[in-house]
Amino acid sequence: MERELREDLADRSKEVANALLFAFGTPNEPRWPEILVESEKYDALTDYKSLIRASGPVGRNFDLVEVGLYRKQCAQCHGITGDGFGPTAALLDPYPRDFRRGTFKFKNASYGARPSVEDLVQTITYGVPGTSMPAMANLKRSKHYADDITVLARYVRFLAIRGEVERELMMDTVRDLDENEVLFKLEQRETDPEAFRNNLSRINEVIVRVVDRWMLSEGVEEQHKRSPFSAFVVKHEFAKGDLSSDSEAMTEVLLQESMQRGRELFEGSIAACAQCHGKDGVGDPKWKDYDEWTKDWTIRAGINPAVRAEWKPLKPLGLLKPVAAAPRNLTLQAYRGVPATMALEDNALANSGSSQGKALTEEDATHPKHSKNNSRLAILRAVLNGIEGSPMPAAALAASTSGGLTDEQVMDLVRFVESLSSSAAAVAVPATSGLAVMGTDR
Amino acid sequence: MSDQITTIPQVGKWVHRWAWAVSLTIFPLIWVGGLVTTQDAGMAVPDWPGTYGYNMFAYPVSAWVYGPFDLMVEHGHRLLGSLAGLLVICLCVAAWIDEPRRWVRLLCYGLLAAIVAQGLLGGARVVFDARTLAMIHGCTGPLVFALAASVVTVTSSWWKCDDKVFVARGWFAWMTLGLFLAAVVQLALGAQLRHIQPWASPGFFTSLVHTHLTMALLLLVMVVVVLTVSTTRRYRDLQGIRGLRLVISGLLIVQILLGCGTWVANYALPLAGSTTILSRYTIAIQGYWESWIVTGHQATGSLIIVSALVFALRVWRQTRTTQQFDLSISHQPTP
Repeated sequence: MERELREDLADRSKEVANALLFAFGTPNEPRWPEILVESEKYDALTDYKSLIRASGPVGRNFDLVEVGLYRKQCAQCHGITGDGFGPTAALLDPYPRDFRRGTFKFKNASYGARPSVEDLVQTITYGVPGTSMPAMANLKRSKHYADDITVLARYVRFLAIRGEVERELMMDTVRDLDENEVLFKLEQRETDPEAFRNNLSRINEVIVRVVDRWMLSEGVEEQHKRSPFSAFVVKHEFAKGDLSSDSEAMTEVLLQESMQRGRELFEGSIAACAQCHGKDGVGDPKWKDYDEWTKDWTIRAGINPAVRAEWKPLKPLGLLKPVAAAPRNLTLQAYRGVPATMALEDNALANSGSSQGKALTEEDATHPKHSKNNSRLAILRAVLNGIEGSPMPAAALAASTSGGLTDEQVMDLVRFVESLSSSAAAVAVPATSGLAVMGTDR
Repeated sequence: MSDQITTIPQVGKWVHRWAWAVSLTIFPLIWVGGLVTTQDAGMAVPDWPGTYGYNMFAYPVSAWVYGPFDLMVEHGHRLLGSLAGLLVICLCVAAWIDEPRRWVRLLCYGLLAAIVAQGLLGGARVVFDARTLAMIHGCTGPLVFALAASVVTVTSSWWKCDDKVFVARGWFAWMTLGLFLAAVVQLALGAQLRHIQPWASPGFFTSLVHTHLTMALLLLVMVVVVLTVSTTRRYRDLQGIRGLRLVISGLLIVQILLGCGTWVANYALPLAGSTTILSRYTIAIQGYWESWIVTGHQATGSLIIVSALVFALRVWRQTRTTQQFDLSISHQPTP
């Protein structure tokens, strides 16, 4: 397929880069755009302490404060601007995430919404099993590093916002601007202040549009309204995150019945899980769907990711070899993403970001020792919220769609999915499980 | 052969002892240096030669020991480096007093110059906050270690004694030197990987990894060839290399395992989707075992360099060119 790179886009790209530099600074000296700093509305977002600590070269300053945390822990894979194009990127499977879409898989926030800082903290703390994303929980064990994870999460949010602004500016520029119109020229500040102000105002509109999307995820109450998973957890009093705290029991017979109903849903047309995961849950190895990041480079640009000759010319521009996003093999009992349910009950924590320095304790429901509990929460969240960026959709729920899943059906499905792994089948859902209790409500 | 014994005066024993002391200090120094890289702690102390404004030796012990781990490692590396430098000065004094061979004295002075240069390089890395200098510092460290080990070798009684089986020097002797050089190149490649700049391209990093793996394979082949040849009839009686064969073989096996472990500790298990255990494995940042494995890989690399150099020196000590053999025969007393 013959394709031409539009040379005029190279100039536009430089203008966008200059605009970003003006608004967000450099990787060594990042800053929040003035439009955000000037408004009290964004005070919780524009946290300079995190920017200073996470950016720049790795080291300590004379006050013993460690800086350059992002380069120390993240940049080797995610790239210095969070474009997912760090030095190690090509060798990892899956590839490191490109933050610039604002798309994150593991979050309590609903499909399409931006993750909260607490969501990012969870992923950074517990890592993603079976991938190259490490768990940084060890940092929380020392008082000297206890707030590093929150700092990193906030910086990841900064990079994602910067990246989203970059994408939107580029798209707006290509779509809206005439050939001789200027997006941004710093020299205009002296030569043509009026034009400079107008251009800056257009850029600020984009910045505010992007940031407002992120702000929606920071209010816990808002999140409850918007996220099916968060609402479900609150509604069924899983706010403490411990699904095995109820004292009532579910008998073996009821459990088997529940799992049987779950199987029917799994294979049936409402949940339709078997379409991708297969009836036995091992996933379809011939499945050829791709994640959103790959589609950006390929399908949406009219390029077939399965045809090497089509995508290869884009490699020098940063495309990594397209790899199909295979449906998860559910028999492996490896569920990615530990939901931050503790944060759901503590508004102050999630609203103010006061989790800085919060040590990891075994009492936390998301502590690794509660792995069975975490697995259930992860399945529940994947069912209710879907996994954004991947082909895994959010389930249609009866509360919002006629013919959707009821709460009990959701729990039947969770129990069945959990039983798919042979080791899990042996223990299934324990008799004292809170999930089990839900099944007896009917 | 007994009539060929050259009587060695019992001098230079202290030189040998000090050389051992230096070597035994440099190895942990290299290990801690590796830990500095693993923890990315090179700039944990922002000034040099001082430590947070203090004289390096006057920095409060409590602030050092109970401070952040990266600060502890970096400051510890500096103190250990100072100790190594002090020991090399003692070695040089002993050599000046007690070592009759001029070239060995020069070797000791060369070691002093090398360790001072290494310290300055480490300091420059801090003063200029230059990761590239850190990488060079990481490459030259094992070379200083190798130099110290060569002083141990040439000051040993075994080296000084001429009561040996000498064989003709062939390509084998050159191959042992080649093995040493290959090990140095491999370590330099590893240092590049460990000090990769965050703005390096994925293509560059990928090619570095592939070169490192290819070099590992080449080293494996070279070690197998060198060790196999060393057991042939011509070389098997060379006393100086018998134990070293086992050491190098063992180190190589350990190093390959540590290399695989380093990959897993840094970048995940292969075939993660194939079994429950593999798919549930999560890498841990600053994990205890992870740090040991990654740092151990680098430290074992330096041990391989040293072993290869000592092996080569011993082979060269016990091999002679045809010309040397002719000279040796002409100097034998007439019966």
